[in-house]
Amino acid sequence: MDFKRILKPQYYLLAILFLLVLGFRLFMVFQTPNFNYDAYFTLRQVENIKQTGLPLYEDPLSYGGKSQLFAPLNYYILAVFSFIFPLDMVGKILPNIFASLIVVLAYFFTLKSVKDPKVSLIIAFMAGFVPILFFDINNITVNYLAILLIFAIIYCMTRINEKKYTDYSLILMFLLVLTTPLAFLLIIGFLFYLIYLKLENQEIEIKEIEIILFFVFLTFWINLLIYKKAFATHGLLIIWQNAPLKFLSNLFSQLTFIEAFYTISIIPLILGVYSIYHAFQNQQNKSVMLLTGFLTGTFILVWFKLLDLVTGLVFLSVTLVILSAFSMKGFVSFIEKTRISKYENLIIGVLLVLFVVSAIIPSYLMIKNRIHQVPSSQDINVFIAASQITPKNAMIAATVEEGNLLAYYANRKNIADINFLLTPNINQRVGDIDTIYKTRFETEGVGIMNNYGAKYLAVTSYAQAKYGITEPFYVSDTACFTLLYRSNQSKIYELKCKKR
Amino acid sequence: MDRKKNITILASIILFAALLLIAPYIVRFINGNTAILNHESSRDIRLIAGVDSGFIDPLYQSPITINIVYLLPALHPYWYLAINILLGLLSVWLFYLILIKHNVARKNIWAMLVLLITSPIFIHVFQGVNSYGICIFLTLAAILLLVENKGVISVVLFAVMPFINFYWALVSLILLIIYLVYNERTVKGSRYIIIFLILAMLASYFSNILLGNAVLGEISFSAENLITDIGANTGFSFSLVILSIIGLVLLWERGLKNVLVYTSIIFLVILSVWVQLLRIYLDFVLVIYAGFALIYLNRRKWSIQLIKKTTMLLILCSILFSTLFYITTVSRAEPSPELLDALAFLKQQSHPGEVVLCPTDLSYHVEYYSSLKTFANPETLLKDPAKEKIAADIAKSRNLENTEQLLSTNTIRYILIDETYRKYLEEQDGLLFIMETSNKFSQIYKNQKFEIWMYTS
Repeated sequence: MDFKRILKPQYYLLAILFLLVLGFRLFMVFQTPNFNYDAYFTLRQVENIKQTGLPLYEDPLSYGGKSQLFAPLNYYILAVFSFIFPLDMVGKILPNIFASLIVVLAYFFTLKSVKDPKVSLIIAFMAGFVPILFFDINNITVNYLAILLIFAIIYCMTRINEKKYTDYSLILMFLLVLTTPLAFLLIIGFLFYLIYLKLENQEIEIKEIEIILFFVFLTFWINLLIYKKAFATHGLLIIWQNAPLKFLSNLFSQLTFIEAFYTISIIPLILGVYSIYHAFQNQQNKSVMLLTGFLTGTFILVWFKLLDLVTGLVFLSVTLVILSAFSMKGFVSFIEKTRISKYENLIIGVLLVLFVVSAIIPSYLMIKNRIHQVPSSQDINVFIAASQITPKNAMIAATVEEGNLLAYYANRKNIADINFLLTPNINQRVGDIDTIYKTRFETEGVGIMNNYGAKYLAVTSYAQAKYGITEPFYVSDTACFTLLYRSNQSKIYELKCKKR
Repeated sequence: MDRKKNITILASIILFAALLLIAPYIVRFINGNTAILNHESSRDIRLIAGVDSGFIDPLYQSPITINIVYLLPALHPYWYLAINILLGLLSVWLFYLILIKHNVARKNIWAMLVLLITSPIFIHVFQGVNSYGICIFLTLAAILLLVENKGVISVVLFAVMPFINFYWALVSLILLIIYLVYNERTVKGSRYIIIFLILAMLASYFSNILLGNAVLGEISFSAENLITDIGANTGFSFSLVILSIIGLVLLWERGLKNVLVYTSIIFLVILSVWVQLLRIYLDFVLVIYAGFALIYLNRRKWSIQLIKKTTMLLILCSILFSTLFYITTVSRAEPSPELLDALAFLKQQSHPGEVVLCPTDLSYHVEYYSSLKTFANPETLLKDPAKEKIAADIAKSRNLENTEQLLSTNTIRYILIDETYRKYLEEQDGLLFIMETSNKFSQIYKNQKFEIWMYTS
């Protein structure tokens, strides 16, 4: 082991930076003990892996019982750690470790590209605090692991002539394909990279073609195996995951234009775009072309609404941050040659302050806004109580967003949750749930609940806020509804009658 | 020695093709289902058994497009199936001979043949009873004769085609012209071949007009999925598409003549999204490029052997997987034993002239197995698109009088409902509501997958 290398000051600083980012993330994420609504599906999968060794591909609770389709690696990683640590802690810490490791990856990527440790540290700092990376801070999202794997593969591709990096890229590709279908995003990025090389009359290395070809076949085949049923059922609509129309529009408008703009952060945006311009005009740097190819692919998918906005912005912003290394290096080199070179550190300091103002403060505000979008304790209490006071095979009507929460805490069937694949008539089903809460007519509400076999109705604080009600209009009919449990404003009712 | 080896390989490929074509039937036989596959098969078998030289549909008493295949003697459907499978195997052999004549390397030929017989379109065409099989056979035979400078005989084959499938002949004519322009060898009498084909097409066209058929209106244009791995009924597998793209890139050559070929291929690809007939042609084209790509990838020296082996394994697995997936899907397709039982009941129960309202994709099965007219099948919808709206109106009408009028006007007596149609009717919440609440409808049959309702008024 080369201790002299490890003891280099920049590695200390890198470690501090990593810990700083991780610490900041963990500090924010532990402001609440709960996860956001989407995370409870992950928790159920991990618990099932711990019990049976397999994920829950045949889910008896979701939609009253249906098949689930997903790439399982992320769940297995969480499961392995949850044998050592409590699952709640693993769910909070591990995704944030992955997110923080982007700092390390950005550092080494930049160091390889510009060979300047100072610039690399600056870029790593920026990568750690890009606002959009905090959007899903309280979700056990697979995206952080996906970012890590994708950019690690891109990094290995820039060092493809070194044998060990070829081996690493193959391993990482396997891992990526087993983690997320976002592997297709990388394929599109590679395609644009090859196009750029061709347009710039740059040499395309045979190794690159071979690895990309291998990756294309691997991705298609593995995803065909995993999502075969979904392909057969939904065809190309699988891209939008069979999401109902109202959810679909949310996927592409989770942020306003201004919000989308500042979540990327202005400084990496400007520096990144300048790097692209400079590289194509003068240097024709292959690393820049590779990153630009990935950037182009991501942008096009977001533009044509083939990729949800938040995921797209995450990849765009990380790519722009790494790309901005080239501009930053040029800027630093320029300063060093001028008379103001003695003020270099001051200028860099000002730049960092600007970044803090334009990125870290919005990051903090974004977290503050998102961190409290979690189930309230009263809602959770209602679902925990439901597990004790309702029969094991009962179906409980709850909002779509709470479907996984219901399945996790109450261990009961839901009418719908956010896993839309393989569900027929999804628009109808989601519309029916809205009707249950909003209708003023008992026959309508009761009729819908009877259709789905739901004998219980959860009126949580979330449902009340979502529909602007304190409770559905008709539950006051005590001949039909009995209040089974109450926790502050959250309630659960039992339905005793059928549609007349 | 080489010759013996080539014959052995060819025989193995043809045998494998036979197995692939028969495999769905073996699976169905094991499950007690002896019906012939494919929706169009039911139509063609019914017409072969019933049409006379006047080309009048015996069920609808209306003229049909001239197709001399319908003049075959009425035999058990398995005979036609056997003939079609045999034509498939012969087509494989003819394709092999054509490639030999064009000096394609042996290994490439083997790869192309394997990709052809494992392609979903090949399996779809030759595992049922339809006239596309004979069209493919005749086209390949005619091309082979053309290449061997036996243009006179090939003229005869080309001239027969418009009397089997007019559109097939039209596409063959266009592709023949492109082939003759592209091919540097002067094919003797090529002009005469084209002239004769045009004359034959005109003869077919005017014969159809005389019989009262508007041939030119009878092709369906509807955008459909191209990839079988994501649900297409007739299409291409992912692996075939990717390999053929690689092949196209590898074989790309500059030159005006090649522009013609590549433009034609692109047009063929685009048009095949709307016109299913073109996919059959496209399959043969894609297979050529894909076969070339497969051998090239296997032969070339890769910089990393591990990647080579893994990639080739992935390609072979994906081809195998796609084929197996398609065969499995097809073996579960209608007509199922439940449908056959329902239609047998309907046949016993009904009287001639009564009409069945059913999903369009079951209509030909209903016509064949129950000998009853259906309200809308793919052919009648082409001739009378208004029927689609009428069917939709019937499905969503909650007014009994209105529904009764629609049913009476169209002499609909029975409604056949499968799981998909039931979900559709539940969404429409019209006809289903009326059937379940009115005493003018009664459910006369129900099994696990189908129900039959009768309009009793």
